Amino acid sequence: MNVSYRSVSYAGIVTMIVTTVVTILGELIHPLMRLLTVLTGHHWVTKNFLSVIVFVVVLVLSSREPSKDTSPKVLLWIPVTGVLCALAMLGFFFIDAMKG
Amino acid sequence: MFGIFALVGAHAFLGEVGALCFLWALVEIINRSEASLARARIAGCLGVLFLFSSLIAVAYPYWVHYGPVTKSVITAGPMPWAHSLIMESKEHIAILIPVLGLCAAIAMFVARKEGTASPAYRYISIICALIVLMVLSLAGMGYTLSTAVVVTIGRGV
Repeated sequence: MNVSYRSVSYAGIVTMIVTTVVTILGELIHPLMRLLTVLTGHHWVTKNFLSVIVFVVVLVLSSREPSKDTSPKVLLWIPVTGVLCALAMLGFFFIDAMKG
Repeated sequence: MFGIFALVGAHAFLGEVGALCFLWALVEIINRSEASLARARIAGCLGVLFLFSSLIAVAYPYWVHYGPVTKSVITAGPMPWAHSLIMESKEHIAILIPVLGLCAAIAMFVARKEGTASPAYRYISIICALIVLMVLSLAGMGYTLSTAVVVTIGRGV
């Protein structure tokens, strides 16, 4: 494996986006929530497993070949994505709570 | 019941220790030398371990106690938003934090071969700082949830 800044960034960014999208869609689409619940017995446990699996898969896939771009600037997108995903979920649940 | 309280306590404790590990890593990166970066890598690995352990510790209480018992107490009380906004956000934002920790720890090992002058440490330190802030925010959310239960059923009930 050729783990680089780029592969770590891809793994982190894709994992956080997938977790956020699955969380929001799960709240909106009930069959998806049921599927997430059935897989492990609880949707939250499934999402945790999913995040670890997505991280490992994306890291392995993006580390197969050495990265030509060795700039660490790509790492900045990890905290940016983390903040945006956290705000997206907070915003979604705020709107959801306001609806009652 | 005591086991559930112990696991919730362990969840809070492990999460805070995880955040302290990344604060430790941040300090080592700011004052960096070969020796301090080696300690930062250890702190990063320990932080990831503690953050994942924190989620594992709370899985059982969340599953068997929060959903069937605490949630209905909170939603029936004067602060129902503590569940619909605070808990829903907290439980899902918490999944992102170990991912950030993994990224920081792995990036520290990638930066190892570039020496102390690597510009990567600037970005890694931002990730470490974000982890500390997010964990502290979630601890505050946990306090809000406890308050929601207390104002619903009263202290000592």
